[in-house]
Amino acid sequence: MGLEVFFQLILNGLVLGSNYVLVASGFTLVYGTAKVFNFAHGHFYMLGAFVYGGLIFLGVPWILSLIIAGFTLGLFGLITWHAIFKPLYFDVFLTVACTIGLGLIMVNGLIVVIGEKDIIVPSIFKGSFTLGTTTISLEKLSIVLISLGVMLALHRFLNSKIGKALEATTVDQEAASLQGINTGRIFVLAIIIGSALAGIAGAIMVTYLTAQPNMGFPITTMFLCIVVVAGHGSLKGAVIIGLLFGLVRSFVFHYLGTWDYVIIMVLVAVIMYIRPWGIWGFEFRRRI
Amino acid sequence: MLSLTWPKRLLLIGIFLFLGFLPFIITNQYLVHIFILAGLESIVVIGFVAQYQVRLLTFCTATFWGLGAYSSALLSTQLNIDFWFCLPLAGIITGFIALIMGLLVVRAGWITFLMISVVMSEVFVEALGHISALGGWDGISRIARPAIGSYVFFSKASYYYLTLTLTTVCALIFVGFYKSAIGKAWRAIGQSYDLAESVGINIFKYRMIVYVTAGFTTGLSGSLFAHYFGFIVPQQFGIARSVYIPINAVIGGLDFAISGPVVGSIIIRAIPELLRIADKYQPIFEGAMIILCSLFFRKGVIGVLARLRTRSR
Repeated sequence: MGLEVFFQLILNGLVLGSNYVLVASGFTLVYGTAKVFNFAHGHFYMLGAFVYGGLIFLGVPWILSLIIAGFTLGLFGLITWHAIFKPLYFDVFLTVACTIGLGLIMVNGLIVVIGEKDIIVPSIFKGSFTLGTTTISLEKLSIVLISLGVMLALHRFLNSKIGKALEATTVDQEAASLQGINTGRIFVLAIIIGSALAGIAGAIMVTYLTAQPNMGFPITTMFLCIVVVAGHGSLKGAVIIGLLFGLVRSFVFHYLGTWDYVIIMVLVAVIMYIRPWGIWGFEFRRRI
Repeated sequence: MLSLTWPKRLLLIGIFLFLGFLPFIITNQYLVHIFILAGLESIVVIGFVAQYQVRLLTFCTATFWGLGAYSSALLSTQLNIDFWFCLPLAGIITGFIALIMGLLVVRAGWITFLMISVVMSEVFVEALGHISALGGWDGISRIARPAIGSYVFFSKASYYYLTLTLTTVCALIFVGFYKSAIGKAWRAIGQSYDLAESVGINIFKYRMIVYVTAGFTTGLSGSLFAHYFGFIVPQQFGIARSVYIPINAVIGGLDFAISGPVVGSIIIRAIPELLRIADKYQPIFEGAMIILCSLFFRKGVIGVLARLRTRSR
């Protein structure tokens, strides 16, 4: 194995991993704070990809498209909260069933409208440059850097006063509301940010993959694995495990072929057996 | 069953007569096929509702269905075992795998259990596709139809009766559980986990009983499914199939452990066909149906019918 291949694999792993980090941290933010299970989170990712692709085809600049995709999905999350999560907050199973239904409607509605085909969205960053002996494609580098920027912005936000309130609600909802935090508003904020993160992740990744209505399913399995291993509600864990899984998939795919999914699942099973609540997780009190 | 009033008994007898003579009433072979699928699916949904009773939200019902189908198909095609031995063996193999899986995952919290079940259903498909000895992505074909002596269950009507018998047997297994002390413990766990734990109900034991029993009946249903179609591929048993099972349960009514799943499965299978909605629109219809049901009719179709009856009195 040359050093060049090694660096390429690391870059591929970082591309996959940074994408997983965005989606998984959106999911874990929603689940950890509002304690609602959004099964349609992967389809929000798909919708973000389509919004971004449509805007690019209309000739909108990429940074504006990215922001609009994030805002659209945030609005979508807000509507979902008021239509499904809030009226069904008392029943966990019905929220899960409802979000499954929402996902079915989204995927099959898109299939009816545009058909079951792959849409290639042209990349904005073309070309590559050489660093030492390795060639680095600008497209992959841009995906990693934009994801890093989004995560830094999220980190900055979570360190502000509202971010602290969000974290307090995650740890203990009752104690937070006793301190004068309006937990209802914090829930809404969490679902808006979580859905926007899913949309942005889809928008970033769509130039690397292709846009298709079924692209939400594989990512759903992946972010569930990450959240299970990292622990529910742990953002730090989602970042570390997301990057790790991206790298593992990249390397295993190169050396063992399509066994990458199976290897990751075995890894998940082992960690589940040792620590059922995830590495950074703790047991939530909410029972059903 | 014994404490029913006469109108209810007559209704039950009427339903059984209709289901018993269905192939004579409905001559359209395609509709009989729909009823066979609904019957096979309702066995799975009965198992799902029983797991919901003890608050185990599982999303890998299709995985156990696939385990039953694959074990039966492999026993039949590779070892040339007769169908009447394959059927119970498929149930026992699936139940045994459910026992091993249950020891690992039932103790975990509900959210972890749910996520692991989603992950498991993906692993099952991927692993089956990669093992070429089990057919790989091409699956298994030429699975023989069941036969008694020289009589082969080839027509839709004969297979319908086979399905009806198995559905009744599986429903009776669960009715037996619900009537016994075990069923009372299940309901106690469902109503209040903490209270049930504090009065000394061994929650792990009762959850394991549900998990293994549901695995067993689901495996039986899977075996019949494999022998009905004659070929199976891994993708049939993925998450895309599993997510329909809770939809059937919600539409039928979650409080009705036997009738809810049966009615829900028939509605989900039959109505799009009767309305002649194209294949593309069926998932949209089902998604809309589940959202409407959970927002406005939480007791499902049977709950709505029961409420209408009490109101008209």
